[in-house]
Amino acid sequence: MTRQAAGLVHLELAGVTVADVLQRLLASNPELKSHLFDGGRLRPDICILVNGRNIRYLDGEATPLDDDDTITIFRQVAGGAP
Amino acid sequence: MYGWMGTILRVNLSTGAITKEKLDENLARDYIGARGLASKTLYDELPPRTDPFDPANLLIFAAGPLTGTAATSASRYNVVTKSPLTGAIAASNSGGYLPAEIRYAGYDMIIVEGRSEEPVYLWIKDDQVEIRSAKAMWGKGTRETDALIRDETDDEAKIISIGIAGEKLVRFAGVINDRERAAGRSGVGAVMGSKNLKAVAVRGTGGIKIKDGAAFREAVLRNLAKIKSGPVTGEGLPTYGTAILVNVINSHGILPTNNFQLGEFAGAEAISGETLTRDLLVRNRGCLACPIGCGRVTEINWEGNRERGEGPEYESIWALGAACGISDLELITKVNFLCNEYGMDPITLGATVACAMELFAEGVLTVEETGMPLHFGDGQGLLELTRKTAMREGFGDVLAEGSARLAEKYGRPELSMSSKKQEYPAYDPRGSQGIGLGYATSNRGGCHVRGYTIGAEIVAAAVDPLTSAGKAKLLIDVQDFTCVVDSVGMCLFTTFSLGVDDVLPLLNAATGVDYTTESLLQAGERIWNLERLFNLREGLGREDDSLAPRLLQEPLPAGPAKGNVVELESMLNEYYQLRGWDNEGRPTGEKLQALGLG
Repeated sequence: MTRQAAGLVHLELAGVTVADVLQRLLASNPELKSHLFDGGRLRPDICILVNGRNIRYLDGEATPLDDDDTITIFRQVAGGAP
Repeated sequence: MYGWMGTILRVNLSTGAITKEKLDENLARDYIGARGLASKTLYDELPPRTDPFDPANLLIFAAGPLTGTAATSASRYNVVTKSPLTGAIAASNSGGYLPAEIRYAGYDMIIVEGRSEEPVYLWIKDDQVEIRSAKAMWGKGTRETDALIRDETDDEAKIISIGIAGEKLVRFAGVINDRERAAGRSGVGAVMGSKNLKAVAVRGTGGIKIKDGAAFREAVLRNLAKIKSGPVTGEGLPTYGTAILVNVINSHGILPTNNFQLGEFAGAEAISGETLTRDLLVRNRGCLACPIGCGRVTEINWEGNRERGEGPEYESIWALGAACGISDLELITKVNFLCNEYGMDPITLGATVACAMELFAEGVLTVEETGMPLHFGDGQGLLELTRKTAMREGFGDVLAEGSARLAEKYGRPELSMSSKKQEYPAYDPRGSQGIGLGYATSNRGGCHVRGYTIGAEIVAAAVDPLTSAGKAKLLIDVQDFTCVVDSVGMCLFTTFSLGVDDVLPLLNAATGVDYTTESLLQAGERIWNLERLFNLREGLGREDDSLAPRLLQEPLPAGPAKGNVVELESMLNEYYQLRGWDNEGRPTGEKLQALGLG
């Protein structure tokens, strides 16, 4: 969904933490703000992964980043086949 | 009765006897319908240790008390029998329009027993029931069978049929209804084939009596609003269908690749829901009274022709794709179309071919056995083996037995990615511990829809997928609630937006029974335990609540779950304890007493 709103698939952004990267992402793609945030807080239906691990189980938006880390953002819109 | 139609249709194909029985109100209350009521019937009537292909095996088509009502997404039925793939209970679920038609014809369940000497089909028009010759349809695919039977009966008839795979007793043959919807797993179509029953055609013109129309309507509208506003049911599934999961699961490093050797697939983007939507999607298709409309009508260019069908769904894309290392989405879609036409479970097919590919890579299988080279990534090989499996031709005759028997035959049983001889679906449990416990304890063998903890572990990220703590309790709650949802006749997808307290007012208003939250969940627990009792009676036990050795001993080699295996033993001990079962996985007398099963 975010991919659709941004009209792009992959971006390279610099940042020390996830929050830094999100800030840079919104600076270049301001239309994403309403998709990702609600009243300044990350929407509860947004999942952010750092190298495949949900930041809820890391340090949230303060999760530190290394070079070449991959951040994946998606909304909770998926479900498997019954 | 309200909610329930109150009548069970029983057909004995050996004698030709057709009888109608009154539904017992107490049984209906305790086992609800569909999966629950049919499982109770199978448990009570099937002699222990009956061979699944023996005429004595029962084949039960069962709808729930909400099936065919105005309740949102209540368009499901179950096909229940003893599975020829697993030897355990089989309860395979499908939606569409046929399930409601069974109810409009006046029945909650159709029980088929015995075996016909010649191919036949059932023609049910309200209270008129006939056994008709199906010689003209034998050997035909499911679509042609559907058309031929509607020509002979009523163009509005809804049809359940088997294809070649069911006729040939492929152990993972499914049944197809409404031309493209599948009760696909556990070989229920093979049991139908063993009875020489090609199809069941139903036309119903009656209605369903609701006890409290106003309360029912209010509950329907409340649930509809929740379904429409839920991110998964209101947006994700309608927009992308189930295949949206390919990239999500691959991002978590748990998209099983090359027979579960890896958890990440380099070709994921090419087989993703986004690619399917962009390149192949014609339109969405929904089941009766369902605003979600997750079905995908797709079209491919194949050998110069445009071919149209439905799917593939996420699980099929995975099994025919990543599991075999194949990233050609058009080919995967073609094989999925063939599976529908042959009436064959694409999950077990893909997983079995993946197992054969690893056996080939290991040098255990050679061209002498397979008749062709069989490497991971070989789409043409998969295509050819799909046809051969359905026909039981050459090496296909071996694949038609499923991966557990294949791997056992060649002395490498550990390479079958299955539990209770049924192949796993599309989530590597080394990176999602709860679903690992779910695969191990599922009453129908490796399966995601008996206890879809992926919803909590990955989709909603409500619990950490890598930890095993708390997963036994989570799984039990999901398993019991799933029994309720399957038994009332609702779609499991509603559970992304609805809970037990949303189902409760619907069921009470429809039936007039005063279920409480506790008694309804206890009915779910009763059904789960009854299925367990069936399996125990068939000789399955703790040793069958296990996983393929790879998942227990070989850490995932890369990705977010790198280094992890499934921590099964500790989760299983806790699971048994919380279930009120002994160390061998047998419900205690106290538990049976509490559930009214003693």
